[in-house]
Amino acid sequence: MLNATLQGIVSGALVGGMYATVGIGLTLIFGVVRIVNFAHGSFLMAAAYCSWLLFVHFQVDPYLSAVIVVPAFFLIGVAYYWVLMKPMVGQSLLAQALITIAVSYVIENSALGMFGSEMRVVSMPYSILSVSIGPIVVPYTRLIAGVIGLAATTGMYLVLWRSDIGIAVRAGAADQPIAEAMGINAHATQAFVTGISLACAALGGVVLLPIFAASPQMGVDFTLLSFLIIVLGGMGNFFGALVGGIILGVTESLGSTFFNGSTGHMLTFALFVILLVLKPRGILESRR
Amino acid sequence: MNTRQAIFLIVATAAFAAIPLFVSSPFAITVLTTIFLWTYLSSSWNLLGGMTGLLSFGHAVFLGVGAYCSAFFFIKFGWHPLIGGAIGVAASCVLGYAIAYVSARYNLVHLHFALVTTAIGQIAVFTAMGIEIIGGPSGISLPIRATPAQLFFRNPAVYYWIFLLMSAGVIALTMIIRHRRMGLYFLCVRESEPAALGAGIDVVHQKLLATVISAALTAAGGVIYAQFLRFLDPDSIFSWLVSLQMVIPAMLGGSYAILGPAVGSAIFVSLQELTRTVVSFAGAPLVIVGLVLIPVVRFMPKGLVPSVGAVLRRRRAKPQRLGAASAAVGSLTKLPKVSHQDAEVILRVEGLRKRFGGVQAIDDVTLHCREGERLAIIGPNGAGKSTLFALLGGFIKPDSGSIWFAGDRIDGLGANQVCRRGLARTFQTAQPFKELSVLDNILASTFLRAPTHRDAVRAAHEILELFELNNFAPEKALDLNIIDQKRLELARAYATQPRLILLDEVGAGLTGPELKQLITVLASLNASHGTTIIFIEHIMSMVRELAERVIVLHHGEILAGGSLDEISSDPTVIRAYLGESTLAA
Repeated sequence: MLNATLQGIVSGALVGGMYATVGIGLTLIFGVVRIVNFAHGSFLMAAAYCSWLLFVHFQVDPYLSAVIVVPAFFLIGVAYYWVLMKPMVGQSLLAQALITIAVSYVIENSALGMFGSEMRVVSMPYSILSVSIGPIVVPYTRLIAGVIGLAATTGMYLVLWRSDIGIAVRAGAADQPIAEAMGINAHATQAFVTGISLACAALGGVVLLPIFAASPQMGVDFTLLSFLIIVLGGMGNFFGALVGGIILGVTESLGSTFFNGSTGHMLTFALFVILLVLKPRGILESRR
Repeated sequence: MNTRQAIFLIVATAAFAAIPLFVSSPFAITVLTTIFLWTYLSSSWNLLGGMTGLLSFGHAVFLGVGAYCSAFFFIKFGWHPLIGGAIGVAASCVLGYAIAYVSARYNLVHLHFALVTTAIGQIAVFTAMGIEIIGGPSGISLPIRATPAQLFFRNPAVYYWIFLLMSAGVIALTMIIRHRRMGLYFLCVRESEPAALGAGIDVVHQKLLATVISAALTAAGGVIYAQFLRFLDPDSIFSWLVSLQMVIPAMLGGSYAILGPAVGSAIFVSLQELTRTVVSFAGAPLVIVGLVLIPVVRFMPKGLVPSVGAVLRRRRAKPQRLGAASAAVGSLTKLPKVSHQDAEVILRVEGLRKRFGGVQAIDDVTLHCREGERLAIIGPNGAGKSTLFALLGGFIKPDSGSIWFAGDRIDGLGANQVCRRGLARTFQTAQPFKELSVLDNILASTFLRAPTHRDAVRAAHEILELFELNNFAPEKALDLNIIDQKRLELARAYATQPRLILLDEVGAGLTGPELKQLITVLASLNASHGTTIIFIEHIMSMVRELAERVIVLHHGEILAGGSLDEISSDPTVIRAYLGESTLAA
């Protein structure tokens, strides 16, 4: 019992590190561009399929494919900003939500049409290996997810808090007109942020593929999961998303240990509703 | 609903009803049935999402509760589908009430409401999967041996007629609601909650009402949907995609337009069905829907019907506009020098305090105002003047202290209740109901006191006349310039027939003649109706002309009070306004 709990916490926290990266991607667009991107999970799913295709056709190692897929999604993100996000800034929430939902329809149903609804798995020799730390057994794939997730969040922290462009991004997030008046090119920074956001989603897709497998259903699941994360952490809050990701990873892992799948999911969403109602600014709110 | 709309609706329904008599293709009938099914559901959604602006992304829950209840009681106990359906509708109402109550109580609007309803939809999916008695994940089927009396029809046209009638019904209901107080109040909630509260509208009540009506209608749709589908499983009934299928047509057609959801559904369904006949690619219909939706939202963010309507309106000549400055400036009525010193105290404030974080915005303010008095509140920026008004109007709650109005204690009451008691306010930055016409803006206020609809309209026209806004009556408030918006703001506050009116810098930005005109209007309201006026103002000429008494607020405290002459010779006031050196010099 204790071992199972410990096991659940560790493997959940490792995946949670990657969830955090995905959540930060969503929270960045929300905080900086001020648009709700309901297609976030779809981009993650698209990246997972890209990685799978590279593996199937060119035998590219799934982790190595990140080198191609993540920068590609950064560029897609920049284009996504200029073509669809920018005109929607300041429009009604309904319009913003629906244009991104429309994008998710296109991506997810294209995937359904091209690859069918079955799970696409990548199996590498190391997929089944694991490392034992005392009583806890950690699969390599989860360990890698945890390490990459941590590295990615640290990297983003350094970019956002320790660089010039980071100041520009944060200034734009705080007050866009004033930032523009101070000579910051708001559109360039917002395009950059959208690119980073999609790159985060893509990294999530690539790194989680060996753990979960790719399927069209993944898109909606991860969009909702990303919303869970950023609501937990407080929408637009970078560190909140980190905490939220890890909490969610652990809850999900413990939930599947102690409850059956659908009860676990139901409890997660019930928790989500309670948090939205009682702590609309996230669980870190009171400590600040 | 006016006669033209009624005739249109009856003729359109009759024309559509005749279609199965001439078209025998089952495919065409199925497509039409589906169109009207989603017209009905989307219009029901729109009563909440379009009118009050509460975006529900979880309406599938109501649909599902209706459908599952009807099917379950029919299969297990042999009850008539409508009896189970009635239970489902009742359950949906209770659920909708609970969701709306919690949302309104914790002020979940906008994205938060959308996410909460999304999550509730997900909870419903997983709950339905976990309940074995309703089939769990594999779902339940309705018996094919049922009879027409049990709502099972072998002729598909019957379902078509049912959904057509239901669609016509919900559209008629929307039209009726829109032309009544209820519909206008819903729109006010959507446009601006503070302004709605300021007009005495009980926002929470309106949200509850809209949610329950919408939930009940959606559940009723679910009851028939279950008979039509004959097979229910959690994924095809409760899933997020089903909720979105109610939102998308409304958005495509335009959620602000009554016929928007109908037009949207026609496009939404035909697109999918046409794609299905042309390509066999599995996800193709929704890919096409997505590809069509993207440019529609991108270029027509309000949807097809309003955008096309706007183009048509632009063709019509614009009405001749009268500039405010060109309007005749009435000669300044000499203010009666009646002293209100013996009049009854209408407003009394004692020891009022309010703190925002580290700032003591209002610090132990005690003041009173007599019936019919014209009291000015002046003070440097950041003195707490607008906070004081927000406290008086019930928009924020004080930390301590009490407010008494007309003999009753009003601190702790909601802004709408304060307004009902006869204390109205204007906002420093005008808060009109932007998408509504100027007339509707005023009507929202006159409804408060008018016994009948006709009285409210008459009162609204009188107010338009009084504030010289008649020329703008059909215009959207959004299209007025800042000055006219301020006039509208004043007119809206006045239209609630207040005994005391709080004016927050209504003079700012006006030209000399406009200011004179404003003072004239205010003075005549005060003289003829005995309306008590408390106003915040930086323009000293207006204070001199209008105010009987002046209170100076500084750092949240009352620095001085008295006539303008007394105030302006008070050293502490001079220090607060101009700094130490002025006195030394």
